[in-house]
Amino acid sequence: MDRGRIHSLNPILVIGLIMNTMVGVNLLGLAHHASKMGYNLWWSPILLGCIVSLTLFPMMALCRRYPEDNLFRIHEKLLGKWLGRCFNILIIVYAILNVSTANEGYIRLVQTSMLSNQTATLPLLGLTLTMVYITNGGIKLIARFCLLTFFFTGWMVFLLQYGFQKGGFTHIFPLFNTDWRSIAETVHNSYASMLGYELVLFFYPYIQEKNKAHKHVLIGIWIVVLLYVMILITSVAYFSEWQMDNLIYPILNLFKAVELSFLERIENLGIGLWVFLILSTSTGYLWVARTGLEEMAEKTRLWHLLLPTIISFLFIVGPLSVEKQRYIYDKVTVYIAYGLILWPIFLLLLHSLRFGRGERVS
Amino acid sequence: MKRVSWFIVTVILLLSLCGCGGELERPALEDMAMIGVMGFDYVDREKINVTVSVPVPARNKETTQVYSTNASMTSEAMLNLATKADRTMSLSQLRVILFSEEYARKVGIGKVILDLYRNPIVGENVYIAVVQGKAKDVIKGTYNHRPEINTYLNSLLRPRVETAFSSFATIHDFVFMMTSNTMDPNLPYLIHVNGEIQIFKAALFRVDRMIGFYSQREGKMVQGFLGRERLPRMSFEFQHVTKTGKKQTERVVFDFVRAKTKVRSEGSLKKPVIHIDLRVRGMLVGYSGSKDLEKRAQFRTLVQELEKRIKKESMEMLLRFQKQGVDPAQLEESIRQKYHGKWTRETGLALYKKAKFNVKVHVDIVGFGTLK
Repeated sequence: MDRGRIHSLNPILVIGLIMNTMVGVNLLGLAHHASKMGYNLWWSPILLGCIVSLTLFPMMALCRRYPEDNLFRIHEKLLGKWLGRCFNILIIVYAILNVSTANEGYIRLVQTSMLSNQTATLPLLGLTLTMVYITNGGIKLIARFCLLTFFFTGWMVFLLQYGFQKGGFTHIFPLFNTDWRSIAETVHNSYASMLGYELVLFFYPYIQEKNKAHKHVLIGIWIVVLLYVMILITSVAYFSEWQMDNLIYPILNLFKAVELSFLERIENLGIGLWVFLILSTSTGYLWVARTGLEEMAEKTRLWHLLLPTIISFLFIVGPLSVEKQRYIYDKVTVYIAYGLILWPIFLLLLHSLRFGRGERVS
Repeated sequence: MKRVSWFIVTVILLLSLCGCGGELERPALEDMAMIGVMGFDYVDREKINVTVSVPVPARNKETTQVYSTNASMTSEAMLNLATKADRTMSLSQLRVILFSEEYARKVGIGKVILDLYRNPIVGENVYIAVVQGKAKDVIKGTYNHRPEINTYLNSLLRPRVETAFSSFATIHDFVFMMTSNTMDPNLPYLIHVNGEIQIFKAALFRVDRMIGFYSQREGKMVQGFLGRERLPRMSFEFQHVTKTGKKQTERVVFDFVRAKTKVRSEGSLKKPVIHIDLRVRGMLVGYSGSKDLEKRAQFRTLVQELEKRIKKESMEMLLRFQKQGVDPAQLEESIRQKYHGKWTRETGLALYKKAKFNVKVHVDIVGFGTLK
C-alpha cells in the first residue's frame, strides 16, 4: 500500500488516528489512576486536555518547519547523523515499549476476567499477528483501522447510561474540594491515558491539509477529553471513593452494571471489543518503530517490522518478571514520553540557532 | 510471495506448538456444578461454615445438591468443596448470598463480600440477604409447591415493587453502601417459618456489621428518601369522631405511582438543617370511610390528612434514627455536597446528629378507582 511519501491522510483520518491512538489500555483503569482526587476526578481530563493542547504547540511548530520530514529525519538534519541516530534508537525503544504496554495490559485483563485458568500466550500471539498484519499496510491502513475501531466501539458510550442511572449524580458536589498536591499526583498518574498524540511528529509528512492539521489534531484530542469526562462522571455517580481507589479495572465493573434483557455478562462482550482500541494504539506505535528502523537502514524490508514485533512479544512472555514489567510500563515509558513531548521545544531552539526563526527547511 | 509463504509456515508451526502444553482439559458445560446459592454461618471468630447449593439439571424432576464445609475464606471454602463434589464447581452462575444473623452481627460480612467482589467470575446480579437462624437450614429446607431452592430464592429476592422496602443489594451495591461514607447499609431480612421464606424486615448495618432492624413501613419511607421512584403500597388508618359522638375508623390504602424526593441541606456546619421535600403521586386502591371523594372539600381534607400523617411518621422515624446515630436514608449526602475538606464517616455522623429536619410532603391523588 501507500509506502511512498504520498500525502494520504485526509482530515477525518487524522482525527480518527489521534483519537484511537490515545484511547487504549489506559482508559481501562482511568478512574483508578485518577482516584487521588476523590469525587473531583471527573474534571481532571479537562486539565489534562489543556496540558496536552499546550504541549502540542511546539510539536506542530516543529512539524511546520519540516513539512516533509518525520522526527527521525529531523533528528538527523538537526543533530547530525550519529547523535541523531542515538536519539532515533531511543524513540524506537519507546515505541516498542508502548506496543508492549498496550498488549500486556490488555492480555492481563483478558487473563483476569475471562481466561483465569489458562496462560495468555496464545491470545497474545493472535493479537500480535493481527497487529503485524495491520501495520504492514502502512499508516493509511492504520488510520482507516482507527476509523473502523471508532464505529465498532463508539456505541459503547451509550452503555454508560446504565451505570449513570444507578448512581447518584450529586456525588460530583462540592465541585472543587481538592488540593494542589492531589491534582499534581492525578495529572502525573493519569497522563499515560493521554499519550498517543505525540505520534503526529511521525505521521505529519503524510497529512494532506498540513495548514489545518493543528486544528484537526486538537479536535481529536478534545473528543477524547469529552469521552473521558463522560466515563469519569459515570464512575463518580456509580462508585464510592473507596471503590474507585481499589478497583483496578473500573470499566469492567461499569460494564457489569449494564442490564439487557437479551444478554447477560455484557462485560465479556465489551472487553472482547476492547481489542480494537488496543490494536489501534499498538499498531500506531509499531509503525513508528518500523519507520525508525527504515530511516536508519534507508530501505524497506519486512524484518524492520518483524524485529520490533518480536522484541515486544518477547518482552511480555520472556523471562522478565511481571513486577519488573509493570515498573517499566508504568514508570519508564511514561518518563520517556514526558521527555519526547517536551523534546520539540529543544529542537525548535536548536533550529532557530542553526537556520533562523520560522525558517522552513525542506 | 516466497516471504509470505515463509511467514505462513512460521505461523502454522508456532500454532502447533500449543499442543505441547500438558494442560488439563477444560470441563464441558454438563460437567460443571454451577453454584446458585451460598450461605454463610458463624462457627467462631476465624471460621465460617459455607453451604452451597447446586441445581442438577434433569429431565423430569429438578433436584439440588447441597455441600457444606468449614473454612476461613470463601476462596478457601471453594477449594474444600471442589474435592467433595462430583463435578467442577463454578461461581459464574451465583445468584444469592445468604448470611446468618449471628455471623452478620458477630463478625461482619465485609470480608466475605470483598472476597467475592475480587473474583471476576462472579457476576453482577447476585443478591445478598440476611436470614434469621442458620443460612444452612434455609438452603437445606424443603418448600412445598415451590421451585427448587436456587430458583425460589432468586425470584424472591429479585427487585419487585411489593418488596421494595429494603435495598435489593447486589455485591456492588453493598460494597458501595459500605464504603460510601454517607450512609449505613441495609439488606433484606428473611425469616423461615412453616416451609416458607418471607422477606420480613430490613436489616440495618454499621459498615459491615448488623446492628438492628427497621420495619417494612419505615423501610418504605427510607427507600423514598433514598430516591426510589416506585414504592410499595402503604395503608393508613385515621380515627374520627363524628358529630353524634360515634368513633369511626377510616382506612386508606395508597398505591404510589411516582415518588420524588429532594434532600437539601442548609445552614452553617454548626447547625445544619436538612430539608426533605417529598412529592408523591398515587392512587387510592382501598378506601373505607364515609367521605364522598367526588366532593372537592372532602377530598381535599383526605389529601391533607394523608400529607400530615406521612410527615408525622417520617419525622418520628428520622428523629429515632438520629437519636440512635444511624442513617440508612443517606441524609448525610446532602451535607457532604456542601462540605469542603476531608470527609469521613465520623464527620458525617457528627453533623447528622446535630442536624435539624424539615420535612415537606405533597400528596397528589390521581384517582380512586371506579367507586365514588
